Amino acid sequence: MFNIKTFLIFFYITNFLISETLAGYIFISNEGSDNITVINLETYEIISNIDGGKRPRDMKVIADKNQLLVAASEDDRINIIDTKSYKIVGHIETGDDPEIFDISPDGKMIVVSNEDDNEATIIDSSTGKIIRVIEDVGIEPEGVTFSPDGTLVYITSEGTNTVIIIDPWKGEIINEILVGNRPRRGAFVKSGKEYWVTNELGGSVSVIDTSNYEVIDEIKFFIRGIRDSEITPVDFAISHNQEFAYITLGRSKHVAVVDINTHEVKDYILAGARVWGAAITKDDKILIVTNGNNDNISIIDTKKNAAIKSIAVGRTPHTVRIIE
Amino acid sequence: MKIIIYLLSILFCFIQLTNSKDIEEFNIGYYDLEEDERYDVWGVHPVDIRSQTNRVDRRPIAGALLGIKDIKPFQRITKTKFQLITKRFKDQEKIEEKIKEHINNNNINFILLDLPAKTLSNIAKNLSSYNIPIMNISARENFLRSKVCINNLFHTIPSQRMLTDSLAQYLSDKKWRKILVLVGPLEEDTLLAESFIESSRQFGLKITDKRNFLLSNDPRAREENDIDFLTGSAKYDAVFIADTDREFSYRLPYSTQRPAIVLGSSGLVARAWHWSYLRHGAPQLHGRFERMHNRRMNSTDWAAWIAIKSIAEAKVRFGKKENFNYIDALTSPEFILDGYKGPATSFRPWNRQLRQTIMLSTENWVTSIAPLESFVHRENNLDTIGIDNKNSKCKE
Repeated sequence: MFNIKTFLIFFYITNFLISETLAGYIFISNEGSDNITVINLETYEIISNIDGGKRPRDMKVIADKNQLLVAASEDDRINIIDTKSYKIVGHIETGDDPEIFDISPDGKMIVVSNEDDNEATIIDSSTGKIIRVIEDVGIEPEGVTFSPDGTLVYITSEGTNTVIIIDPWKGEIINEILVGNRPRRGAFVKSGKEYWVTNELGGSVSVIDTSNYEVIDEIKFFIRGIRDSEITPVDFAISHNQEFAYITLGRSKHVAVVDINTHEVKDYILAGARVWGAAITKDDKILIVTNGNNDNISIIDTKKNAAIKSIAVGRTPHTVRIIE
Repeated sequence: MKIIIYLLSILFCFIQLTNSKDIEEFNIGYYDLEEDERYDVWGVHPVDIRSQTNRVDRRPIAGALLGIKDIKPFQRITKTKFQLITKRFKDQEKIEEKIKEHINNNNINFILLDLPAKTLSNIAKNLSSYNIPIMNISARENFLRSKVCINNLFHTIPSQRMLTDSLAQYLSDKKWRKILVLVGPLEEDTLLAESFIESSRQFGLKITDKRNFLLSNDPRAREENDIDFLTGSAKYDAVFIADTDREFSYRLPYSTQRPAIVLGSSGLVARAWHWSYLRHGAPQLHGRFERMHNRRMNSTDWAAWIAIKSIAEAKVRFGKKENFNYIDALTSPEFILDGYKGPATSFRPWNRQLRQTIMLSTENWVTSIAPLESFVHRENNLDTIGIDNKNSKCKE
């Protein structure tokens, strides 16, 4: 006799086993060679180089749909890649030159920065239609980050040295905060209580209190033997246990390890030239960074805080994402 | 219902009123000359001098206009409306007085000067008691940075010395150390050659000979106008040519007696900006310029653009501090500015020269960026090029 309980238990166990045996994947967008490198997370072997559209840059994973969204800057669109077949299965029009984008936590909305037009484009993800365009978000908007509750979007403006906070649902600019020079990317920590932003030219991270929009701290980086002007922070990887923020420092070839609670810099890890994008595995054991000027990625052991391997990828690797 | 609308409209008017009151107007004066030989024929290809289709206006006013557009978003946070008021004088007659009058009549708070070095130096001296920054956006002459020391005179265009130091670093790095120098007939050519000779001394290059050239076909002057004679019977790895007019130097690459590279006014040229640069956000800035003006951005455009940008940056960073004034803000050690060409730019406190990277470029490629990696300075590597505080009469 068919017993639904037994079936479900069996189903969950097999499902668990299957997902355990499935290896994870690393996806790297190469903006110089117009492709995406797929790497096995366990063996670090390159599985394939797939088409990502022209000048692929930022990427986001929609795990439950097996989709990888890729901003193809020179195609003026986001390409949707099926992570099983590695094929482009669709696209979303984004307006000119999309670089960085984010998806709302409920998956309903996509917000893209259009660097050349000084705009942010807001897209309905289910229909792929542009809902509205917010103009005047500073010169060269770049980093786009949804607040964890999904109500607001923080956009960095490289040319204006500010973070512009918008309500994408109403299409309003809520506030503008002056940060350091050339702000690039943002990340929310402490369940959204703080927003951190990298200042590429200022060589620091500004910490904003999201309750009153005030800059409450500036985290500075100092690396022995490296000039301040060579320290150019760009991207974040936040550990899933919310203990550490890993920040790539561009020209200095290092990654900073910062304690999220105390804002203290704990360590600097040597990576490659123009270390740029970053991502961390779910168990927080492996950090992966792209080295834009070496055409490779570094695999970093977070226990040792040292690179254990480097893998050659395409030209000018930009973003890294991990699917587990 | 009517009352509500009435009240709302009053409220709206009130908001409008307070808004317009909050915004402070800031007027930037931009002065240049109708008759300026630098934009007349210097550097224009002989074909383009006669061309109806390829003769482009090279005046840096284009860069200033982009600057104004780029700093418009700062209005929201600084509550300041930046506007450009331009005035083109026909000639140099009584120009000092005319500028003073214009400043007073238009409530000018900041000045950009696109003028030849000597005129610029006279005007700056005349305005030295004014508490407004003056930006030199086009005169590269070294004496403005080493001898003329005026508290409110800033330079965003690199000095001749920064440019020749950059080339000397490149030659030294390549170990192409024997250099033949060719000098044109203009006073500017002599100054440029002198600057290069000083640079070679600093970076350990050897000048094997210095020869004068002349743009002519006269067979009696072949020692000076024939490239084979000019570049013959000498040992060199590279030829430096000082030719402000440029018509002669166009023909020098690939024509030297020895297989040597040409640099200076032709071949490898040191520039504040070149359109072909692909890194550090340069394509974004260049794209904005091209879309606005339909031509390529050059060094003086960049210098005008960053001069405008420095105003907004000073206001946004220091505007709320006590006793704020622009001159102190611009020379503050905390003042940095993104030039879209690498490390942050800032003003040298001794002679108010904007430190910046220099692009060493051919006609269509940036071959190298100076300072080169192997040249380091005790404080800021950008100070390995240009007039350091030890060699300038201007002191902090």
